[in-house]
Amino acid sequence: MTDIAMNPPAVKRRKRGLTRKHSPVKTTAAIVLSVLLIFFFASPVVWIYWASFKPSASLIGSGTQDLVFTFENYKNVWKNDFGRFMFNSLFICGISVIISTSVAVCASYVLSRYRFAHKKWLFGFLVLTQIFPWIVMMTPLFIMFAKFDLINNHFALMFCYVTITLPFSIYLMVGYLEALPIDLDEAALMDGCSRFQTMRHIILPLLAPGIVATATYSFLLMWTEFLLAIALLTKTSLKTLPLGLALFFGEETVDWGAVMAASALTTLPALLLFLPVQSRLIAGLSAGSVKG
Amino acid sequence: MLSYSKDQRKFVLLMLLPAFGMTAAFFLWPTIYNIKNSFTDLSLLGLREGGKWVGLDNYIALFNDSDFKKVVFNTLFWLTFVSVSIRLVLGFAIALFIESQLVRRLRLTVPLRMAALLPWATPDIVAVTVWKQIFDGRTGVINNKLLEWGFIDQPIVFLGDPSYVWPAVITIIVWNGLPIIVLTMAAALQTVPRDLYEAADIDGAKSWTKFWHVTFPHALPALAVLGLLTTIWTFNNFIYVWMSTSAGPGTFSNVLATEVYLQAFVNFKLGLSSAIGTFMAALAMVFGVIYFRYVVTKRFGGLM
Amino acid sequence: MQNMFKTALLLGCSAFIALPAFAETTISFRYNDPDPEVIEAAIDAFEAENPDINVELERISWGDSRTQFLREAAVGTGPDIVHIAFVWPLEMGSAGALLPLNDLIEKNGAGSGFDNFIATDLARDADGNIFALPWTADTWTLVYMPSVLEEAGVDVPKTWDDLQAASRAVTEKTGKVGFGFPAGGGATNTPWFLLNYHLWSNGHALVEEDGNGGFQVGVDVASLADSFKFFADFMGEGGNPQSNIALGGLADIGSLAPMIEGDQAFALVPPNVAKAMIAAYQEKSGSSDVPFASTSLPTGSVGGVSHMGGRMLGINANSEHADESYKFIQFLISTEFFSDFLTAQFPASKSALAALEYPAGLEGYGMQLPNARTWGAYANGKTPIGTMWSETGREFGAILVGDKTPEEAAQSLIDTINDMLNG
Repeated sequence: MTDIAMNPPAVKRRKRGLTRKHSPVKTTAAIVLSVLLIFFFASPVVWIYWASFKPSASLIGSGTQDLVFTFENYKNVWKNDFGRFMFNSLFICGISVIISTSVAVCASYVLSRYRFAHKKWLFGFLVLTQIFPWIVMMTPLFIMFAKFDLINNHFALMFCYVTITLPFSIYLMVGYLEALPIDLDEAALMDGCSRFQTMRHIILPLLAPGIVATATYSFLLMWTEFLLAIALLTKTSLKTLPLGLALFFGEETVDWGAVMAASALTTLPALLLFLPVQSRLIAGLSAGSVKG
Repeated sequence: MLSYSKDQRKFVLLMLLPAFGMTAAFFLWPTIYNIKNSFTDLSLLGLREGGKWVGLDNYIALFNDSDFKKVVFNTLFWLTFVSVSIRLVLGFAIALFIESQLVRRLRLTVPLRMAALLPWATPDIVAVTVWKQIFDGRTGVINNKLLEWGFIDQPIVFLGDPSYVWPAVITIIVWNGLPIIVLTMAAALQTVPRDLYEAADIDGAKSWTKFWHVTFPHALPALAVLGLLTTIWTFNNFIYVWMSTSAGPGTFSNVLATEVYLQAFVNFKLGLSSAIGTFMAALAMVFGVIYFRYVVTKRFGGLM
Repeated sequence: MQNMFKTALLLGCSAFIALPAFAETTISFRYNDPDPEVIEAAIDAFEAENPDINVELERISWGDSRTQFLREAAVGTGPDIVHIAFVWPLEMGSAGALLPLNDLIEKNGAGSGFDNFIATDLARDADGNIFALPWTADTWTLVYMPSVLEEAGVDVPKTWDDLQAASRAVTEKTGKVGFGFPAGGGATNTPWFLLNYHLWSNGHALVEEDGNGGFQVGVDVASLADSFKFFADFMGEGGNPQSNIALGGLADIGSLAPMIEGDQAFALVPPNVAKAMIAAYQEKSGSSDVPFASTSLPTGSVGGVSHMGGRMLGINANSEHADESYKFIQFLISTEFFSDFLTAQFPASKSALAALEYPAGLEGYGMQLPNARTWGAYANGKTPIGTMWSETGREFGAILVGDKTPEEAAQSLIDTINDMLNG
């Protein structure tokens, strides 16, 4: 089993997959289905980006088709400290996602590989943390953080973000680890690797797709999180993107152009960060090095 | 399971401590505080003094509410069961499709994954805002196209007509929540050892047999986790319903989570909202226990 | 070298000693409307006049501001000055979140005197505590599109019944929207305002004083049912398209578009929305014409009564800088502030409102403001307006989808309010 991990990228496997024949009907069906899926997923977002370049008034009613483009909405949004919000979001989510993923890898590795008492309860505890609706938790959480004088503190929010993503990350990672045969660990330990080395050098590389999936999950949850951020951050200079975005959704007046530009700016960094990771992941993996 | 001696226990403990220490520090007190509040008449206006003990009054008020059954049904059936089932089945199917050899050969895997990432990176309030415009009766693209093509002669009031409200809300949830299933399952499919497929090929197995005996068992742990947590999250989510219909028309699409929101932040009754929250937690726990018993331990008995 | 060290030390010491002399007090002001540049410019001017005070602007959306401030005040934190709706000061005051301003007003005065403000009954509680100063004023009034009225051959409606007939006629004759309004679920505020206007215009109220220092429901089931029915009859043929049931609010694209495109005859809106419609029309058409006109509210048996709405300014009970905060509030309520900075809003003072000139299209607000009443007895502390508003929206929605008759809805709303008054 160990030799799989040690194998250089096995190009021949890829070739083998490629030479299989598919009927033209199946091929056409696959292309049509792909186009439909891409349309379903992408069109609302593409529309946001398109609309963010339209004059605000033209978004009300028909006339969105006019070919008038403007940066006015972006200027407007930028004036409202969006640069600052974006920096704060990147800083908070970037650090939190690294901590959260590392902590989750450690815990899930042990949970999946070792036998010890009360493990069932640990799993149960993680689910228990998720069963109270978030909105009920907000007021007590606010009181708790206020007692420790942690309002308007980025590190407090990072702590929150790490913790709220941990339960699912651990579960997910255990799921991925279960698919990796334990013989790998045993062989490595037998070869004289320490327990930590086994995890770090043998399992971690094989777990890469799982880690990327978990990190994507954590990052996007943190990136779009609103309730905790609004309760814990009130100073303009400390706010994150979702809070900036919410300022544009008024009750009586809505600048729809600004809403679109703010939405576009909120999704953009997340996409720029994860699109390359996701595509590289596939390129690397389909080469077959990681048995996938 | 790996065996370890007594002094190596430290390794196990050290690996577990950060995760469980942090989670406990974060969740324990708010949870207890909430349960305690559910027996008081705490109001947002009286947060400073705290609430008065009222025993089971909040729970009694809850069960005596004539709308309560409908709200629980909406939550369990429409919001949770229907939307989660659609996402799991569709999500797994799309993941299989994206990771299939045919799509790989057509080089469509990367574009599909990228497209799937778009809704996921969209904050829920933005998703609802955009879809409300897509569904709009006057300016919405769906009604405009249907009218133009002559399928209908009156615009459909997607978010205001009782026969369309739930399908429309679920469409928004599925759009926003499908990608997490698709991409997590795609990653799970990548960890399936390719040798097993090769072995099956040599045995001349049909694709259905390969799916059932190789792919499915390996994908199941991730699917089971997604099933459990998506169910709990959706059950507890108030944003989609609140933002798209504000529980209307009337109280037609009211769910437990929007009721929690309404009681806490519109009516300021923190005690009552904690009681609804605790009731929801109890329901979620019943689900969790059953799920653990019959899905998780059955499938991964060895893990425990 | 030694000299340099000495100089540095000396400089350091003097800086240390000098610091307290230049000490600035920093106060924070949480402002929730969408035009922060105006306020930032005003803050610069204020800081230039008061070099010892530094004002930090914070912002939060209106939807989150009340909850957030109540939470903060309860645990002893929060901004020094808050921007709040007219109906919040009394409840926030009773929660101990706002500082009574009586001493500060006595010492420093308040504009042209406290009684020159509008809606003082919403700022001062029964014990005489003044929890906030009224800052800006608004109300809703009838905006109409003369071209559509002409096309349908109808006159500007004088009474509520005229409005109903005119709305129906517009839809019948032109196929356009008559009186269009968002009619959806609990969070939509329009049904709440419309219903109360109709009730008040006919001499009723959901909540009124009972004459013995208490409060009671001020309408019977039949009259309330009539008001519900009056607005339900607009749906469909009556001039308000069925699809408006799905609109979230007046700022939704679906609410604004028909007015801007000349496809709707009437709307009942606050000045912000009227301004947004005019601006969008002008931007789209490229002309500086004002396509709308506005007038006072349609009348019922006792007149056309709308609500006196607006925003107030209060000081956090936890503030350590009440004097500086009050100084800033005095600046914000001054006549100069409204003439130099916040020109887009109406000041909440009787004398200033009387002297105000209303721009084209908004003349109706000037006609309506004298006929606006405050929420008064509604803000009695037992019947949270948020609750009544969401219940009204829900009952109205239930009528529209056929779950309840207007009588059942009216009965249920009255029961809810009675429960709150007695509970």
